[in-house]
Amino acid sequence: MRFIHTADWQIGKPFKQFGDRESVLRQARLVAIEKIGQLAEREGAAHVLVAGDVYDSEAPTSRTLLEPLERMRGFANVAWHLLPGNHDPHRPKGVWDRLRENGTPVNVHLHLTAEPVALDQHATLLSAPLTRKSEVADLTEWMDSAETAPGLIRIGLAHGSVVGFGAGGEANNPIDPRRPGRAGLGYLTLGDWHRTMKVGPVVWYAGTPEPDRAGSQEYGQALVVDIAGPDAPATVTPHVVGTYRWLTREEHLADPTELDDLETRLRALPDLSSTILRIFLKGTLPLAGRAVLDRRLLGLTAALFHLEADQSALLIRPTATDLEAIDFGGVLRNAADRLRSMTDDDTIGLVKKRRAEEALVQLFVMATGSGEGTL
Amino acid sequence: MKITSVIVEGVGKFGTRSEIVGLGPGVNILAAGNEAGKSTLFRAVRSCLFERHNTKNEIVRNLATDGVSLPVTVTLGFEHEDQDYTITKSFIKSPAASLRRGSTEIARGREADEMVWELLGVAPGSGRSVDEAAFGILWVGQGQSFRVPEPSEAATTTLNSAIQEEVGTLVGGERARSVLASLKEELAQLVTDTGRPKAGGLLAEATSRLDALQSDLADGEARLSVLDSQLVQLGAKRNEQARLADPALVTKMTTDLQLAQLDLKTGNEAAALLTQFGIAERLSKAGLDRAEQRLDDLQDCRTRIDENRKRDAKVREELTPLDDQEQAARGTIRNASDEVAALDAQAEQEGEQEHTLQLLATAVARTDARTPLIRQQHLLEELGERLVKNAASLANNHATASVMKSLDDIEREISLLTARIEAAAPEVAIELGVRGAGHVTIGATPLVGNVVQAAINRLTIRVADIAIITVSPPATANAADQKKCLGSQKLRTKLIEGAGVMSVDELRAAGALRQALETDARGLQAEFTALGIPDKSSALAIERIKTEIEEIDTLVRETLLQTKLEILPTAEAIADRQNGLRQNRATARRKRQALDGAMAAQNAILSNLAATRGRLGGSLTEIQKSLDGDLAILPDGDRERLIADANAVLAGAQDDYRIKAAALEGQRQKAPSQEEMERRKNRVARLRSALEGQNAQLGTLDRDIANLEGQIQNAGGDGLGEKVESLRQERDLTQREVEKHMARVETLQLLKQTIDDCYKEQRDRLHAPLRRHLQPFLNDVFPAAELELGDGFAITGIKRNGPTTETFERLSAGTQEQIAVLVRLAMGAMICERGQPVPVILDDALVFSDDDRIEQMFDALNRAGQKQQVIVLTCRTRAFATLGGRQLYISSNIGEPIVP
Repeated sequence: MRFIHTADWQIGKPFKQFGDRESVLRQARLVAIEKIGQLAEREGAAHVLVAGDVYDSEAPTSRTLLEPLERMRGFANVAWHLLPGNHDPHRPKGVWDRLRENGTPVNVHLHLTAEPVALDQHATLLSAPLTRKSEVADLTEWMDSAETAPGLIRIGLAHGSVVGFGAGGEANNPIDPRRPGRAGLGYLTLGDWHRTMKVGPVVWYAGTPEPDRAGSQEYGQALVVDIAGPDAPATVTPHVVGTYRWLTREEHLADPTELDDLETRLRALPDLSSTILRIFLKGTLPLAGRAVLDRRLLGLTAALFHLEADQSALLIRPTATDLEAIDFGGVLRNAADRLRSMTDDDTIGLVKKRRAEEALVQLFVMATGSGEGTL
Repeated sequence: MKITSVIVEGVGKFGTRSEIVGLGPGVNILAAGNEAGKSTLFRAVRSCLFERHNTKNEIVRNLATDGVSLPVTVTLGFEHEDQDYTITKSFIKSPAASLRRGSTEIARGREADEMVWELLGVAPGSGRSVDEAAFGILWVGQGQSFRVPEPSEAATTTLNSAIQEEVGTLVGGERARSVLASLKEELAQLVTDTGRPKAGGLLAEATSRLDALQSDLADGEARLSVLDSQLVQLGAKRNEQARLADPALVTKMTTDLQLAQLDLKTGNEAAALLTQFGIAERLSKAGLDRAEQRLDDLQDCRTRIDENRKRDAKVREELTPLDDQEQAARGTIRNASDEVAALDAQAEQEGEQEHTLQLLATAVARTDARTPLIRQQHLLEELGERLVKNAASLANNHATASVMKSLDDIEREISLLTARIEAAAPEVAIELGVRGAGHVTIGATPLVGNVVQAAINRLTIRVADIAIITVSPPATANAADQKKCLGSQKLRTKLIEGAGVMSVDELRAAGALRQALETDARGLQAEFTALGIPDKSSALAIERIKTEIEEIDTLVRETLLQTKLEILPTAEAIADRQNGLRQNRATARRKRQALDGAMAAQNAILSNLAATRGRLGGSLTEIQKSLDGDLAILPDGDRERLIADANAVLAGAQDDYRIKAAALEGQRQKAPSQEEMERRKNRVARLRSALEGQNAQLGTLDRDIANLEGQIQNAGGDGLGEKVESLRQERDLTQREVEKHMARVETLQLLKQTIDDCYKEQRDRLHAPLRRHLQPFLNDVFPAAELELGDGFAITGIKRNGPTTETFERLSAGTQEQIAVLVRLAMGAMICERGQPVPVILDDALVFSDDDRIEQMFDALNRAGQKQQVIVLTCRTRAFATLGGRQLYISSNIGEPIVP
């Protein structure tokens, strides 16, 4: 028995922070479905189990509702099994009823009730669909007593947070990680956690096939699951199916000369044009260095799909040269000295210190004319 | 520098050579009236120092004297660095320039022009003007003194160089201003001066967008919340629908209802049977009651027949004696009636006699009043005659009271006038001698003795044949009085004639007579009033008395005729006969009362007898009626048989009732109770209601579900959830954008404020030397005041009373002028201290100063005069009298013509 485990497509999710390129990322999520279909065909998997959150919203537009169906329809030899999650719970006349009323392709199956469904002559699928956004009970509990024909592989399909697995899940929909043992499951197909995660030998979160946030999964993945028989162990193999890489880096700067190295390393990243980089800059730079940093970041912004540089932890400490560049004396130099003393004053509060730093940078830029090309 | 002499020729009104005399160190004042040429001299001095000798510019051309074809020549003597110099320039015609140190010419022409500038520290160049260096600040032309000193670039350089020697320079000021301008420009795009988002700026635009997004998001979230609520409701209603439509529940409810309805039907049938038995029992009981009643009625009838027959016999016995009693009473009443008729006839006869006596009494009484009436008639006739005579006399007498008063007034006036005429007339006194008697006449009257009289009119005195003496009063003496006297006499004559008499005495006699007649008239009137007769009605009264006498005579005649008597009896005889008649009437009245009482008693007896007869007759009728009815029911012949039949019917009815009552009680034991039937009905109603309610609830649920599904479909179909999520992101993004702009504003404001502060500190330090020199002058005029200076030594404000700053523009024109002059003096002192003493020249300054303030300004000018030359040109000779210093004057036609 070989099938594809995927989850958390969240079709229709907006990406407003990317401005006019929002549609690119929305489109990428549909492309990921095709890549999953291609993976299934390539790996000979007849079934794709989608463990919840197919849609980002309970009330998507009709186009958003139907677009993924059309992508799945294109893979006629693959059976797609969709499960409601906390983003798209199954409620009367909700998103799933809309789908049903509209009609789904024959290779798309909706699992909207907690009952065993035969996948083929080897396996039975036990689904635990969410009927509301937040459940306090473990909906997989029914699987313990679910009767299936002997000799079939029992595969669980659920969406929620594994009890005791930390607070990473988005909703309070608890799932007992010991469920496979209690319910005789050969594999528990989980969704909700956007990172690929192995909870146990037969309990996995597939992660999202196309990441949607920084600090989570870098590449979108889907899992190929092999189970030889009812009592055989599951073999799980992650495959990259995402297009865009969501990368988060933290860099420490202590000297302007390190800027060269930083830029070199960042430019060496693969697939720059499809990389979304969030960089946390720490350390200390002089005013001149900060101006150079801004120019270099501007260049990198053009190279990457998206760059978000967080400089809130980057301290600006002007050197004597910086200050002389502003002026050797006189009004502007006095102002620079006064602002510098504010940046060292712990009694004025962090916000004011930060404003003093920014004012100092601004003064440097205006006094030296080095502002051109900054972000 | 110190100006020591000024000589002009061909300048303005000074066509001939003229000089300012008296110039020296300290304060110099040239006080002269308007048009004296002070300002012309001021301009001439400036041109001599700063204009090239060969220029023909407007300044120089305006100096030339009108109509004189002489060159404009100015000679200025000055002391500089302990050397005496003289510069002489001729403009327009034969231009020339000569500079002498002492008596030695050291330069000529262009060289002289420029050497002066070099001496005075003015940078060489063309187009020199008075605004160069310190002169521009310290030489204040007419109408310029109230202006704030705005040093030209060169003057500022001079001031700055003076300051630099003390505190250095303002470093980086220009760069700071440039940065500040850029900051202001960027800030102005974001916020207003008050810190609010600038309309159309990025911040305002982002804030506006944020507001709109938050509004849209709130709307979307509200709609989403409604959708969520609808989804929850739909789920709950679907569950409720499934629960209510459960077949087992429906079957159970239906079965329960059927069983309950059956129970109710059984109970209803038993109850119907019970009702039937009840009706039969009640009908049987009614039959029994009727049989008992029939027997009782027959027995009562028998008893009543027997009793009525006994009562009839008794009533008939009581009726027998009543006829005799009635006949006796009626006989007594007839006798009494006859006696009453006799009494009435007697009374009628005596009434007629009494009437006749009354007529006679009246006639006698009227006859007694006839004699007094005749006397009154005679009295009235006499009074009437007297009254007519009195009225006639009064009508013929015209000496009324008003006429008499007018006479008195006229005579008093004549006496007064006569006395005044006589007093004014010549007095003629004649004393007759022994032989004069009879030989002297006045007018026609001979004198017999001495006489003294006034010659009111022309008076002729004849002395025998010896002489005729005429005394004539002056024509004009007392003419007016005489005229008035004559007028009064005419009035008196007219009054006498009007009264129908001949003289004053006759008029006065007629007046007395009229007073007597009026007294008589009032007496007659009083007599009439005493008789009760109104004024002028005596004839009526006499007529009325006559009529009354005739009425009395008529009455007597008629009474005698009616009573058939010859004469009237006396009053006493009439009274005796009337008393007799009254006694008879009293006796008849007593008798009549006794008869009336007897008849009333008999009538009462008759009434009682009639009442008793009626009552007994009624009883007989009632007894007979009862007997007739009862005998119809129970004839004497069938009495026993009918009673026996009634007893037999009663026995049968009693048997039937016992049977029916037993059957009813038996059914009552079998049928359910009322409470049980009520319970069965309630149960059926409850079960039916539950079933109907459930069906209704299902129907409502169906409708609700359909409605909710429709609403959800509408809301969900347009991608509401997706839209809200998108709005959330946009809102967050815009929120960050606003925060970024706000942070940018804060940063720029902090930078601007910091640069502003530093700039101000530096400027304040730069101004310190000027302040130091200004303070003594300021104290002279505005004690303890503090001046605020801005860029380029601009005066921005002054603090006089506490920390509040008054802006310069809001001060009065006088105060502005005084402060401007003080600042100039301070600048002059500062430059002077640095070894460049420049005279201060004020042309027609302090025109707006009041008396107190100008004295204080004089103190300040004298303070300046202690270290440098101060030249004051003014037309206000009296106001500037206390300035002190050197008094200058202009001397013309002095010495030789000026030759450069």
